[in-house]
Amino acid sequence: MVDPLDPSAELPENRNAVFAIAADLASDAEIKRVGELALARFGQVDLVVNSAATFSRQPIVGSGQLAENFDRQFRLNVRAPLILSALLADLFWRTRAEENTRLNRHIVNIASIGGVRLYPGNGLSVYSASKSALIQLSRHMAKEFAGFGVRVNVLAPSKFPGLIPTSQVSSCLRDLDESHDSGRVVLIDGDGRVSG
Amino acid sequence: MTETASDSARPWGDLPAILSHRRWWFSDWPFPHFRATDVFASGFYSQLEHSVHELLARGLAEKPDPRRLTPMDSYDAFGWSVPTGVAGPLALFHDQEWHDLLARLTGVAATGDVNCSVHHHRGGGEHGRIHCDLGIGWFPGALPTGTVNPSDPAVCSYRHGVVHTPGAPVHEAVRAVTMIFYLANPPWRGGGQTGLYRAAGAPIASPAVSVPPVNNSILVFENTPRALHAFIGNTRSARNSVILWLHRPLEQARLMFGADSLFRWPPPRQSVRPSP
Repeated sequence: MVDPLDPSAELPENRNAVFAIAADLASDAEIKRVGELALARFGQVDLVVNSAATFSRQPIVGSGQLAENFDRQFRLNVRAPLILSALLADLFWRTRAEENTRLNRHIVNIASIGGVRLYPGNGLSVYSASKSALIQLSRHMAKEFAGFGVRVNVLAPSKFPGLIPTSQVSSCLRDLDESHDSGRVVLIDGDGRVSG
Repeated sequence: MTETASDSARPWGDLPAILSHRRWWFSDWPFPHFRATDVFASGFYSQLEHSVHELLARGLAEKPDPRRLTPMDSYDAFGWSVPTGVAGPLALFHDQEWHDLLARLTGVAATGDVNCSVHHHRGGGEHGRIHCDLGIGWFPGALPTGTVNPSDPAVCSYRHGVVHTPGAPVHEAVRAVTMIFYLANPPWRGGGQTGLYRAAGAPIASPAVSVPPVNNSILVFENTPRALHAFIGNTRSARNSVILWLHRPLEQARLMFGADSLFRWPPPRQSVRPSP
């Protein structure tokens, strides 16, 4: 952050500046590096937003690359959030139940409205299935992680910013984080209607 | 601060009062740049937007017309040069205080020379090309200008130095800071971003950073050979913005980046080079 009228001024916001790590989450080693670096830098993790994803449009029949596309989408959309969340639980959260509850620690998995509703004919069958898997996985994580006080929720928006503004997605994300809920699947429809 | 316009030409009054907040975001990826949303207080932003809507209401010209947006060379866009002495809110971009804010922000020792335009991309417009902005422009007067000095086509053409006022002194300067202020656009639904790139050969639709044209937001960066950027097309809606360049002395730019990094626009037909 910079004050445009006084660029050399020290700002309180910069005492906890963003610490960015570029990583390929299709790699387990990279996921491990992200978790370890975050803990090394800040000493704790209070919120994880699993939003990295990939998609490709293709029909089930006749695409020629079905297996490769399935593996790639499930690896990044389902496996990566699972592995990262489990890693942080093992490295940090599992032995801190009281602290986790007090600090309202939380995982938000970003799914898609396509993981709940059927939108046929657009070649997103595998992507939609990966998001369905993430939703069901998140429900199980919510039950298991409750044992050490970490909440798990799902945000399943329609296409943004194509149909709904990005600001609405971030606003719902913030509302979820400020709640004490766990195991919820919050949907944002293409017309901006929020449910769940 | 040096006044370059009368109070009546500065309808915004005090600069701090029209800034919505004093927290702009800095990143050095893929090259150093500054961004902010909700840049101006809503009242002043509305005035800026109204000015651009008025310009758009005059229609797009197919031939040069100082009152209307006209097609740009080798670029699927229309441009309108903000004229010297412009009245109203757009005069902010010719103001010394705004010039100095951008120069201090980027740490550039700028000459005071500025070139400012409104750019309009039609819906469905084509991609631009990945480039840096190290072009050499022409300005009225002799260096050092001391105060903000807008390019003035009545004296000499910005891109080619064609002198229209016989005997008028002119000088060259190199673009040093780029400012893009997005305004008067429909709610953003994808496309029309400014892409920032690591390499000139990158796929244009896959930038390292994508800056969406959200109304009342700004992108600012120092021009260096690494500051590679492009307009990303395929937008369903038009995109409007104000583009402002600050400049540095030609010799300074040669020393910093090498003469080969700087570029001149191809000469127009029947160009007349300025006298030394």
